Amino acid sequence: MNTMPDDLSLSRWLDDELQGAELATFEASIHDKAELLARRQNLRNWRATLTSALPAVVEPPYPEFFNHRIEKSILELTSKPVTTRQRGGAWRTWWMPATAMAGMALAFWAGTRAGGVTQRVTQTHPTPPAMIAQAPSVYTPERGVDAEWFSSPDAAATVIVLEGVDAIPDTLDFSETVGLRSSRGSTADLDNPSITETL
Amino acid sequence: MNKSSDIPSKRPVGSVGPVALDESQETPDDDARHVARAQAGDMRSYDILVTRHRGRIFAMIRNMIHQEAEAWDLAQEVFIKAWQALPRFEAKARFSTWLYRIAHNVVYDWSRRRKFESAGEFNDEIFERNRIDPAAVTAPDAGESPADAMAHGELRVKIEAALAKISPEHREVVLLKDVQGLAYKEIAEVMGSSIGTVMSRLFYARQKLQTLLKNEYDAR
Repeated sequence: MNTMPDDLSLSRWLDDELQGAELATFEASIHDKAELLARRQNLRNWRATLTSALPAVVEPPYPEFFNHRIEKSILELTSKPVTTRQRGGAWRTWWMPATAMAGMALAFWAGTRAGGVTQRVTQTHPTPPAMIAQAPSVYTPERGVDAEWFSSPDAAATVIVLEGVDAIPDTLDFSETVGLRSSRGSTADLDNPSITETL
Repeated sequence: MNKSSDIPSKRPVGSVGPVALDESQETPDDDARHVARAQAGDMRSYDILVTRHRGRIFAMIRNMIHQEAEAWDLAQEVFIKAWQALPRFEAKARFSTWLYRIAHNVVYDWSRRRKFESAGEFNDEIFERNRIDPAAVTAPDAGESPADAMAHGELRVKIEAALAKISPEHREVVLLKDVQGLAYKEIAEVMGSSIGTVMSRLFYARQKLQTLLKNEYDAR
């Protein structure tokens, strides 16, 4: 006895998902095989067209840096202290809102009293906060090159030391390496053909 | 994190073509082993998982949003979120299917955020391949002849233009089925919908795309 296949089985067969006994059972149940085989071939052609232009796997640019950034983010997440919620009892439910309200009222009163008075704040050692707060993420695309960084909040400086880099010739003019969009050639210009020649 | 020892030396870096993966890299058993280790806090195992799956996740996201630099960031977000959720992963689904599910959420969150922020401008210049020095150590390597690259490039532009004209749900179902090769059941898990919905969306999405690409499709 032949029965009509259900939609899901038909779709799975057309998309080459069925295997083994499932495939055999299905193929035994279909009547107009030629028409279905043509539809299946049509779908196969369609998939081939798509995958020839849109590959299923594309390595992201700079894959090692890609992994490095993930690891760095995960380490930053895991290094954060875990805060646990503590049971506060009656204090939390009644005293805390009241204290907060009193604090706000006090701050408002202090603000009205201090209006017009300016306070001069001087900073003897201005330090970029980002430099201290954040560890730099150093990526060396060339194998054999190691990078270490040292930070000194007092000196407001971060130094990156590269080991394994080829010696820089004395003739290199560093002023030419700055300015991404300068009219002259720059080593930072990725599309500059003169750099390719130099490399 | 993962260094050269885990990356096959001939793997194209930043490749635009299909990446030939070692068979050992595709074994689900290996995934399970590394997932178990990563769940115990082994970062190196997680790094291997990232290396193994980053190509598929990046390709999927890039094809969904058509912005390379954003796709690069979002693919990283997927793996960071996956790490955070890893203790809850129970291996009922394949690890790769689970990652696609996270990628689905990340892309839809990004789309929503973008709609509200209406930022609109993203700088893809840094990853435009024609601006990258082909002699650089980490330069993308297309790995195909110029003629093939041109033909595939033209077709790709047309397919991407057609994909951009259909709804995100239709685009996603076509990419998951016809490009990534997921089963109907897996697509339903990734998209959080029924198999019937997946079948219906796939039918209409293919129909629309084939209409939009009629000339291309008939020529083959």
